[in-house]
Amino acid sequence: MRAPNFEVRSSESAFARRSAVSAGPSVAPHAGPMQVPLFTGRYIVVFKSKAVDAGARSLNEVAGLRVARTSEFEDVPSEGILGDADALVLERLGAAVISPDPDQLRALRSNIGVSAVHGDVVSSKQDPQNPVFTLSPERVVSIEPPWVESADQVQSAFDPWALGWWAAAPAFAADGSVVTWGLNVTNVVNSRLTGRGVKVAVLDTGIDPGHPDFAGRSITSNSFIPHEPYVEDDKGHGTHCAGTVCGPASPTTLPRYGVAPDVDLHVGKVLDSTGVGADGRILAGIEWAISKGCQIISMSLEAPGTWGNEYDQGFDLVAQRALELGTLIIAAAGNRSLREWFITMPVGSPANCPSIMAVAAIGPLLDVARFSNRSAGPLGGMIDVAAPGVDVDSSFPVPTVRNTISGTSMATPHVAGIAALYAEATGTTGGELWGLLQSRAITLAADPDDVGVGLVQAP
Amino acid sequence: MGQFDSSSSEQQAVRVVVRNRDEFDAKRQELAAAGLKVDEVMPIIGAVTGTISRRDLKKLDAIEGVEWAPQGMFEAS
Repeated sequence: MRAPNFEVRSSESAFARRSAVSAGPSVAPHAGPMQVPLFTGRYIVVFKSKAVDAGARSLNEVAGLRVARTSEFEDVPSEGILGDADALVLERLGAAVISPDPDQLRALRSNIGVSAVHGDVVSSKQDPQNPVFTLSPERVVSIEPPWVESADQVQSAFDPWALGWWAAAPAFAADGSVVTWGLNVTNVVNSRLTGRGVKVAVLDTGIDPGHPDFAGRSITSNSFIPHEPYVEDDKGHGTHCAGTVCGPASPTTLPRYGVAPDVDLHVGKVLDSTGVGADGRILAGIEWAISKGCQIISMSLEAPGTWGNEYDQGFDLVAQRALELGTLIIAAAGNRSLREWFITMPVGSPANCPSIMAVAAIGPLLDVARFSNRSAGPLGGMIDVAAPGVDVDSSFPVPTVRNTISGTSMATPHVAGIAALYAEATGTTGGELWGLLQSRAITLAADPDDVGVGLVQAP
Repeated sequence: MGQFDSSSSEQQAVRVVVRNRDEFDAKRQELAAAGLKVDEVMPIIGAVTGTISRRDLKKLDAIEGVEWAPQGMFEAS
């Protein structure tokens, strides 16, 4: 096997350089789309959720890559420490930077199956057992994206006390024993609205209809997964999201976690039991939700975005059409960032479409969640609003019943539920509903590229 | 990377969105004539999904007023 290709300039560590490579746009924010990004010769592998271990093994077993993992190091790995490794697995990011030779690259592509090709990105979609999500060439990007101009500036983004956020935060002192922290900071706790008469579709992994908090409830549902024609939720993700949208006002155990308990819930299963779904299934779910008259569609799903890439015009056409028909699509911005290591990733697809509301995640201190993706400019995708997405307590399939998890997935149904409250109160839909949500949000201390106009607020 | 083998008869799953929904039926016929085997028709959003041989993918580029892409994959986030 040839010598590893983790070249490093001066004393800069290999990992630091790789981090910087992943941290910013490949073109200046004001640059035109015609600028051609350059590639490093290495590749980025993104693993499926919770498949980092299997993915790391597969890099070795399939392609013979010598793999180093960030958990093997106490600090940022340097070139010397990496030794002869030709793959570095960024475990918390769920990705790897690899330096394959042509034979190894062919082996990896063959193993993925090349079932879907987006420009220069290869992704596996048919084989749920394959731990690799995408394989793409590593781009050369700016090593100093705007938000890391100053270390103090970065620190301040994580220090809400220093920035006086509390002056604007409503009901924050509530202890969370009666309602979740998310319902507190979004003012849902003080709202008398319940979403009655509003149809909301949650397009996700399905729902546990036998959950005690949904027992006896009328739920319109459909599965769009051919090999899983049932709507039952084998993963739990969809049940959690649906719970946040419309869990009961009086759940079997406190705290209350549902934003709009009386909405007319529609559940479309567009992700399979591994949490994966092709975009044709998602489009079918959108079509179904619109056909059912849903005013709001909540989609806690994403495909990773890439700095310098543009949003999908086909998906945006669909979202424009939905808005014209009175349906607001709200989607998760994605969880690919690793902010404690100064790595930010761009808004994922389809949230990066201008006609889809992109939701970032914040934590209980109203700071940006470490994983939450970031705006990538008008062509790459913008964060529109933020909502609670860290340590979110909601329903989960029995026997677990309740679970506390984090993600922009968890923030998205908060926004969908609050949108339902506005729709109930005002009768507005589509673009007007979008405008209401944004105009009533409270400004946060964080960078608008991270949180959009701020934290959504219930009417 | 990312180059289709245009000589391949291997099937590619794609999804197509028609820009002007008034032309949806006409564009469906054009897509079928180009070799697209339609799996699902979504008239409300003006989209279809289907499969097409890779050697015929260029024919989709020649159809005006549609946005097509290979079917990608999404994950719970």
